[in-house]
Amino acid sequence: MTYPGDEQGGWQQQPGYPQQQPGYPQQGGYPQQPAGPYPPAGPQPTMPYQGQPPPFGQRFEQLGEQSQQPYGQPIGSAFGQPTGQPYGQQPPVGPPTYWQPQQKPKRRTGLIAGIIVAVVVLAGGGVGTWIALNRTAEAGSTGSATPQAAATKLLADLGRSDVVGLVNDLPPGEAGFLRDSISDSTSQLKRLQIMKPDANPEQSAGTVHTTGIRFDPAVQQVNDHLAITKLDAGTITVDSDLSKVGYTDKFLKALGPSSQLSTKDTTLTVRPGKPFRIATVKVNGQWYPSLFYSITDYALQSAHESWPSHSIPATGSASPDAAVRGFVQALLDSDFGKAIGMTAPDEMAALHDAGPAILAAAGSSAPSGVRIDSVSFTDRDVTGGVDAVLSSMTLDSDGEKITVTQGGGCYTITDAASGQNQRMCASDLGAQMQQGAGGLLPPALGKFMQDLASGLVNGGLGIVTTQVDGQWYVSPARTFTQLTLTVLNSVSADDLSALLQFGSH
Amino acid sequence: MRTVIARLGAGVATAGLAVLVIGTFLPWLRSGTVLRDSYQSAGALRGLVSGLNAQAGAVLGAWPAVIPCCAVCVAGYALGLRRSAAIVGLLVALVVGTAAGVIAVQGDATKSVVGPADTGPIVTLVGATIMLAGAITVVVCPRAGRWGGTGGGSS
Repeated sequence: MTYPGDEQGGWQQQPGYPQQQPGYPQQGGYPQQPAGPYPPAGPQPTMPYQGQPPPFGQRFEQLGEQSQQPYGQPIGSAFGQPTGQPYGQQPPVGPPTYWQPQQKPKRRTGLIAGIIVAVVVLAGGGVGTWIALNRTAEAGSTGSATPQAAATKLLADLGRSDVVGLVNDLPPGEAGFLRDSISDSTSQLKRLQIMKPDANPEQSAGTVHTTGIRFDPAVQQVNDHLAITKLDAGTITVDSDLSKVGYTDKFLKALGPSSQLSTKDTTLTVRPGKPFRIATVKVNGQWYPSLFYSITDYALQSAHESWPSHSIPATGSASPDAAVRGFVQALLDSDFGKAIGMTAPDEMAALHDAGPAILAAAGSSAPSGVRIDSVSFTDRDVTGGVDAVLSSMTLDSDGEKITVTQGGGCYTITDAASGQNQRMCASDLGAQMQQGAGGLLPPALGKFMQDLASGLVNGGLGIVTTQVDGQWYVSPARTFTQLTLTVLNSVSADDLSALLQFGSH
Repeated sequence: MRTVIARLGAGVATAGLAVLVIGTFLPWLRSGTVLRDSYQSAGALRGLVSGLNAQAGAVLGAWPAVIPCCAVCVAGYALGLRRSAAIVGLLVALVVGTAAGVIAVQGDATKSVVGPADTGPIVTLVGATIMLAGAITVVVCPRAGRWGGTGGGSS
């Protein structure tokens, strides 16, 4: 410590007075308190003056201990000076000596044990999470590495009657279509009291047993994304019991005596030389057994045709309406290749691949010469796509134009040249249906016909489109499903009861 | 006394949590002769459900988060952060317990091809209930005073 004046010629220290602290004015006559060596007057921190707080969790304990110290008890020396120190006499100034309370040894065993347990638990949780994620991913994974693995997995899931696994076995496009169709249809069947309210659509799958399954090691590779696997030995038995499907008693009663609804087995035995073919497709690098490809493969086999070497490329449109207009115009032009190209490439991939063979078998047809002059649709969202329902359409055939409009529960056909109108309303359609039946229908069934006609005309008929990679395509499968739903939606449970009663007589 | 009750609650909650986690690895879904635990069920059903119900798909996708949530909860108890751990535990127990309860009340669908299995949901529901009781005990146990006490909760 230096003093002003010692070395710099300032004022001199007054004898008999305590040492002046730099920066502090002298308080006349009293010794100025040194800054460092004071013991704190109140509760003291464990490590005084070091700026380091005690460890968390021990702070209050320390404070409590301090507060129990007898008040006024001399702690070392009061104010840092030994008692009885002569006034004005200061001990030699040296390094500050801090007051050190008597400390109890700290016990950190609990904290350390807690940290160890926490680390172990978190590590275990990490392992558990990894296992859970793996199980989730494995169960949710679809597709297989090879065509044979895909077909084997399909049969394994069939053999275990694992419906959930079976749905995941199919290509994503087909699985999505089947899932949406089954879900929508089941809702309507429950509304019509054909199925019980708590029925589960997967229950209708029945059970499948497989024995002696063996695959031909040679896989018929059609192209880079289609391979046919051949099951050359084994037996597949399908047990179907309608009483377990979830149909209502009323519906089952209408179907016939309960004895006819008992378990019915269907057995497929693979005979030598006649393998059971399962078509597999490659989607996003994975192989899937395909229902649609397998059906198409059997159709080609039946027609003694082979898979074409090339497929019809997909041609998307910018909007649902444009897709439907292009599709209908292609049909009017008898350009079936173009029409196939405008169908959804995921759901209808089999149609695209088999397209050239189908076109070759169908031969060529002359265009109708009818051109769509203008068309407008009412788009409505349906599960998995957009249903483009016709509002009006003007067709031009060699200059003659006719316009079809839908509205007010009627379809109106107008000849532009003569201006003549022809209207067909729901009530007319219902009456025509009853007349066609020769008046033999009971009144309840007449109501069924009327409701059906009203539903079809009022709801309108449309073509369902789906979006794939930003482009819109026509979906024939979803269009058929939507038409079925429109029919089901048109009738009531009473209508259906009348139909079932009529059918059972 | 309050500390003892809080510690007891933490112990009960931890035990319930262990039962809950074990329950999630037991069968939850029956499909034919195949039994799937909750994680396998979530993975297998996610693809089927997400196309029809995006929210249900998201819930199934988040299901594996049950384990890290439980681990954080136990770690909190071990570190003395009992109240925070109890609140996390309450949320986990409510969400997982509700899911397990909904499935458990449907019963074991042994007669149908596809349906819920009993074991997993019931064990999980029991674990969630125990965990809930322990966590509530910790939460409602009053904190000790700041001065002179040893503290019942540390968060």
